[in-house]
Amino acid sequence: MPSRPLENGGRGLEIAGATPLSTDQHFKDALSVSTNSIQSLAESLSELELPQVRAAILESNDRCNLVNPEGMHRAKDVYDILPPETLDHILTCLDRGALFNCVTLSKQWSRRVIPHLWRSPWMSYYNAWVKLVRTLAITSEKTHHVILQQHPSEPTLSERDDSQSPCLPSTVTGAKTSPYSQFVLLLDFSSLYYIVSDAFLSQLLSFTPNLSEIVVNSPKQFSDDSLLLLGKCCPQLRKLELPGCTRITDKGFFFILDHCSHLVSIGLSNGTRISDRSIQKMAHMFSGQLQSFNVSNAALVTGLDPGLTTLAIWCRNLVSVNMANCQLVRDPLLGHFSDSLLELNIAHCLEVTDKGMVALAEACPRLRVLDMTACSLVTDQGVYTIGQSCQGLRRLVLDDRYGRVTEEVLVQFPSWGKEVLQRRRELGWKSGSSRV
Amino acid sequence: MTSQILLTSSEGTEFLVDRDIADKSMLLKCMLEDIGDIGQAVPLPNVSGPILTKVIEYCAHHRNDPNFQSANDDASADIGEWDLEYCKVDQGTLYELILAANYLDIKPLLDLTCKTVANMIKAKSPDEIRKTFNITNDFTPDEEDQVKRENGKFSSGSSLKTEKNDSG
Repeated sequence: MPSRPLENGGRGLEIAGATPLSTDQHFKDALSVSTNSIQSLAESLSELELPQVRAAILESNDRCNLVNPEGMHRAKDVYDILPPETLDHILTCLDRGALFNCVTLSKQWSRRVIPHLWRSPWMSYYNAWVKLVRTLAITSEKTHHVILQQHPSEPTLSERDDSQSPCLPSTVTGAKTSPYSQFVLLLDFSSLYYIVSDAFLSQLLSFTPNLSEIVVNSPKQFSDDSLLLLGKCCPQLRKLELPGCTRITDKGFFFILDHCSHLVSIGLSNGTRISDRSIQKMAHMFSGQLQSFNVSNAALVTGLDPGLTTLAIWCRNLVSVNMANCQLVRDPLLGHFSDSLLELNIAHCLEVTDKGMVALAEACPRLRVLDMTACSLVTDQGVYTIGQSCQGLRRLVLDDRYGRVTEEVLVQFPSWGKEVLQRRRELGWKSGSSRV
Repeated sequence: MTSQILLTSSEGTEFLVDRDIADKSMLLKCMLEDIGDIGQAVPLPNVSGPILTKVIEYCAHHRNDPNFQSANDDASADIGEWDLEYCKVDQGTLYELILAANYLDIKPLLDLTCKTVANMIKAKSPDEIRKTFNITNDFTPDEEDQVKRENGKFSSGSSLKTEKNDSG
């Protein structure tokens, strides 16, 4: 890689380091040629020109990131060029396979890649999870880990800077923690129902003290015991989704409420045995911070006070509520919600009438999504009121098998994406005019 | 009639740009909203002339793009053709573009350049990645094995983002 004679005012040396060199030998060759040309150049310049050219060369050197021409001459690792947040940005674009290839590049790269790799472990085979837990157990036995001792000059690694340190003290369970455990933030078991059980979780959760989000869907076995464990081990929990966990009761949930003070989103749908007592306690304790709540198909939850009415009155920052198929959801409840509400699902709440729609329209004008499947008492009048008041509404879900809502009112609001289920057509349902 | 802004690069080169192009940079946008058009040049000591030229080229090309600010949220979305060509530069320039996009707070350009670097990493072995990025391997073979064992092959290497949709 020969150097060019200086054509453009001292920039000729840029070529020596501007492109990455694949072998040291090439680099050395280029460098010796460059060094020679520096010498011959210096000899040929006048007194006046020399300082300027020297300055240009030095600047050029800096931009090539050469340390010095004589000694170690590696170009800079991109890790040292880019700030940490951009490196993280790049790493978030990578899939797990690519991240794994990055984890052994060098020690500092490892430290930056590992939080990404461990943030949300997901494997479809039970044995893989067993291996994961075993790794966490083994590494927690070590007092010194080859790469995970925090380098003093590095900023803290994970997203949750306030709670991080490389070797966490023993948790409340008394177990030592693995250096990797601080990075596990999200566990999504929604399609891994066959893996989840109290026994499995009791091994895993002791190693995930910073867990922020967990989803467990219709698990093989999940009882209040696991909720107790979750409360003890994972106090940082923000999102708790437990659809289909049919064995959990108020007892377990109370424990969670007492120990996880950062909860923002809770889902207890599809057959859980949570009752109004839990709703009431939750509404009182998390009134300011609860944003999302899903209790659809929970047979013991009612729309009364205590119950969902308490929820609506107390929690003034709710953004998304799903109470499909809940008992005793009546019109006054809909008027109690705060105007922060953007999404509401009242499918199969059969007692809701136009009055409820009016109350809702007044209370929640910022509504964007409304699911009123099978709310058969609601007529065009109710839908119209909603449409007039909620200018931002973008999705209205109806199943008009038994309903009274006609096309006439729906066409008045072209900005709605309407999801009217197929059955409507299959039953040969005719447009509103014939019903008058 | 859009107003124009004078920008000065680190070497002192001046660039006259239309206001709506400059507004693609959140830094400049906020700065100009605060101080208004006072006719003075805005100094950008962290951005060199050639890089500033490239950045302005990007913003000018996307000046009428309606999806500009909200684009690129999906990390696996394909990069457009013009953007692909735009990113065919040497590594040094690419890093400088990242630094400039970061400093000037131009999110879509930052997303694009970071994705480009990410694409340089994908489908490469660790050795190849080290060569591309001038990384010195400071692991001993034992340490490297330990890290590999502890960190990988729990799963069969499917994508981080799409794994959750796997019916497993």
